[in-house]
Amino acid sequence: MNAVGILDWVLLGVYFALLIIIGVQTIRRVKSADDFAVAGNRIIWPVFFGSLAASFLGGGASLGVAGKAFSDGYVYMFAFFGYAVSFLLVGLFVAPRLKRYAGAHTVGDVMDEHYGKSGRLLTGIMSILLCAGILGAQALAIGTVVNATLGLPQGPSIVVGMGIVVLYSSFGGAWAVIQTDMLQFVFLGVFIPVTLILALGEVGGPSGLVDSIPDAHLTFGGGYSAATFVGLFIAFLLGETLVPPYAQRTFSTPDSKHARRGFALTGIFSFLFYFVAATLGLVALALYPDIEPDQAIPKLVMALVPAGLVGLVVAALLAVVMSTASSYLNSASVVFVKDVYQPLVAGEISTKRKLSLERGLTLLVGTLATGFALVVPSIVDALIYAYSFWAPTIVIPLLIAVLFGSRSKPAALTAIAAGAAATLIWLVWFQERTGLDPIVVGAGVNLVAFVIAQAVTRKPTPRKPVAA
Amino acid sequence: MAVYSVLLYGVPALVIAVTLYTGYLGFKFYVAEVVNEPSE
Repeated sequence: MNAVGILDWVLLGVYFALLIIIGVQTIRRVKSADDFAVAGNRIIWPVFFGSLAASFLGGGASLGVAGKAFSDGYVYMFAFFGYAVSFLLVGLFVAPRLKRYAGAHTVGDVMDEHYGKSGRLLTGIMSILLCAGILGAQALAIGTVVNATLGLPQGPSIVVGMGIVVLYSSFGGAWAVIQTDMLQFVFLGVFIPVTLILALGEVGGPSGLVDSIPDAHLTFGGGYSAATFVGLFIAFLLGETLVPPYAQRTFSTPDSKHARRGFALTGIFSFLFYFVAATLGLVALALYPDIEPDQAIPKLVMALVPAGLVGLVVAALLAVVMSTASSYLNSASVVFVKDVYQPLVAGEISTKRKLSLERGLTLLVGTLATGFALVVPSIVDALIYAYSFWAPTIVIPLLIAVLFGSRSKPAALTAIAAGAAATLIWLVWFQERTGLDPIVVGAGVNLVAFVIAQAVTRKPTPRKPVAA
Repeated sequence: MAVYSVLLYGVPALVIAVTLYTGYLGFKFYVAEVVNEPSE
């Protein structure tokens, strides 16, 4: 195993310093709640694409895909393509339409427009639970990455990593989150593929890799049954559709052309990135068949990447996690102010007060997430379940609203309640027995409930008076 | 095997190229919007 040299520590230090410098430089760009939430709608498509990709490609897309490819083969990557397909479809058909909602910052703004205040409030609560869960998970992942690569204890690593995330997110808001995302995008998009090219050399090139792993690991279906594959694919297809940070990032673009191009490009890029991550898992299997699957990428980095480059690759792995954390942190505070606090407070809130609230909340939520990850990780485990509830509650009514213009409040509320109940029941009693993801069942129930409730509660269209 | 060679080396190379070009555009945007903040 390569020793981590002084140069690696210096490069890691430079990476952290750059994040802080960007955070400080972007402070002066934040003059209003618009700047804090959606960077004043000035984010052009290349920056939107890089930032969205950095937020979207988290620990699951890198360490997770590599680990599952290690144990199951490319079949898991093909199922994981569900996320990329979702991005491509949303980019082509939904994201451009989101730009029609002038002044919108959150998913709750769209839901309010179609389904009223209760739609906004429910969406806000779901959004906050989801953001808090993902944020806590990323905090834990910072500790895992640093521990697996540099051997440092998890606690202090989480404090330093999350401290930097909270710092730049609090002061620079969306401007800081998006600009640091771009730096993190460059790190993860360059050094993770570089690791694969180095690892391929070690395993004897493509022929060496193909000869060293089981044939089933290279096939489309692998060892999965058709039902397992389809269930996983649908769960991935729906699971992260328009979660708060992605919607918020879409609102930060100047128009629908930038929204479409940036969102769809993220989907195309994700196909390629998943292939790189999955192949890293296969190379790890060929070279180190006895390691734990989750250690596939950290093991390759520490064993094969030369000293001097290790610092940059570890920075890339941290970039994967930190960019996701900052996006969800920024969303949590913006959503709380817009979708929960503001509707419950009578009267308008001044721009200055709104900005102070969002900054203060970023600091508070970030500190709480770090604290929970350190002291009571079981709370983070519990909050992660919110992830399973997003698609079965919010996504279908949101898509129907944006694509078809539905304004049926009873249908939306019925669908949210039915989807949540079905997901909970499936999660508790049936998931282990059947292996089917609750997202699939919950989203199905949500859709059926919406259609039925809309048909039942539809008011008859008044007939036009016939001219005499 | 030729297909594997193209995929296994081509895809990471493409990811690096796309990333670097996007990073370059992002840097230009950063300089224009953050470093030399435009007057509103």
